[in-house]
Amino acid sequence: MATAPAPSPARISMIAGRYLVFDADTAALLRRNENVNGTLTGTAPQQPTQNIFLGLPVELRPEEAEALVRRKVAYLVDDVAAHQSVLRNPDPDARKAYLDSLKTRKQTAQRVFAEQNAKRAAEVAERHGVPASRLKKLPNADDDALFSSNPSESSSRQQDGAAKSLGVTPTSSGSLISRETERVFGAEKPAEGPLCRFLLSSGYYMTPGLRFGAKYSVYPGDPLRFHAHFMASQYDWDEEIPILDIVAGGRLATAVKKAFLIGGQEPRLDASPDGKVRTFSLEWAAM
Amino acid sequence: MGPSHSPVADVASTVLRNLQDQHDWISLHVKSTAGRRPLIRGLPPRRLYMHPDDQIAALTREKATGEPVPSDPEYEWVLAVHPEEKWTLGGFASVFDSIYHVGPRAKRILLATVHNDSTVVYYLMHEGMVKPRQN
Repeated sequence: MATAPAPSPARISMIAGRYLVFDADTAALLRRNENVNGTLTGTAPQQPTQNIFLGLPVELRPEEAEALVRRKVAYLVDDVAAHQSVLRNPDPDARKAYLDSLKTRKQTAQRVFAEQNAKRAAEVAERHGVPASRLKKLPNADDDALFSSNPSESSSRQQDGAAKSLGVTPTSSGSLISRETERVFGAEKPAEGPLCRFLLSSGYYMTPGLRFGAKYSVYPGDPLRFHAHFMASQYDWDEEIPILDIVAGGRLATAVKKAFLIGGQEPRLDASPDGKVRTFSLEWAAM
Repeated sequence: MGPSHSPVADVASTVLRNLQDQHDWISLHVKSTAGRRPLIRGLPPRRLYMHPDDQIAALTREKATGEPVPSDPEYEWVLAVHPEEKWTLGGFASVFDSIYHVGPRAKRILLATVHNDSTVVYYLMHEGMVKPRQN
């Protein structure tokens, strides 16, 4: 479905202390190349309380965002500050760029719709044995009715309110903000998570682990294709771990055919920023 | 009871007796180094652990050649702890660092937790990320 190459590095919006990705291509890129799947958090505007069919934006854990920024595959934008700055200081060029991007999106939608209709019409024609040439006009007629792409009409409407005449509902206001503005309003990196970074760099995927009493469920590949192998919790090197927590975690993980993983960063003597991450896997011994 | 009547030695000796009397382990002894936590070394009656990949390979071999899945036991290291204790990653790391191990698979210890009611629960602890067995 991707029509344009995904923007790189990936843009992560920081809004109210949460790290969100609004662009579908970026979310796909992160999932495919960076083994970051995140959590879908967007719901349907007419059914805001339903939580079965969730979509964009994708929410990332702060430590995932940190790991991506550190690897220079993503950058953070303080979206509230950036939007306020742009909207309070109207700039004709920025406005035009935004309207152009909406127009492009509309044209893309129109084209896809027309192609789909043409395909469907051709299929129907084939089934009924009607020569395709006689139906050629059909898709265009549909198109006109839905999008009213009559040139004179659309241009007159564009003058009194450009946004109104465009038939698409934008899912993101990302194109309103230029890369320069994004650079000015870059958000600070959140606190790091050494275990999360280690797991990401080792090619593992993570989903929230709360339902198994841990911080992460760790998958050896995409969570849609694999079962989790580990329930993982991060500890500081000298943080006290009650033995009962280890027994409980090990038992629960074994009951769901996983191993309980504890891990953390070993402090370095020479004060270099990245110490070695050490992990330990626990399983019930069945004796 | 051990010669040095400390809580740690008592926990270790309880686990050693449990391994010997309930689980039929043999060649058991406590290995204590000064400044280090004592570890129990012993031989279980049958293989305690097999890596899932090794198990798949052994089962395939059994199917193809009739050669039985190996069940000869291996010596194990046992760390005896009490639920009242609090450990750290650093503590576990130093236990693993004190173990000498050769072989293709990750270092492992058997974590034995002794409750006050003498219940002992055993957990396998591996160094690094070792995927779970297919129980």
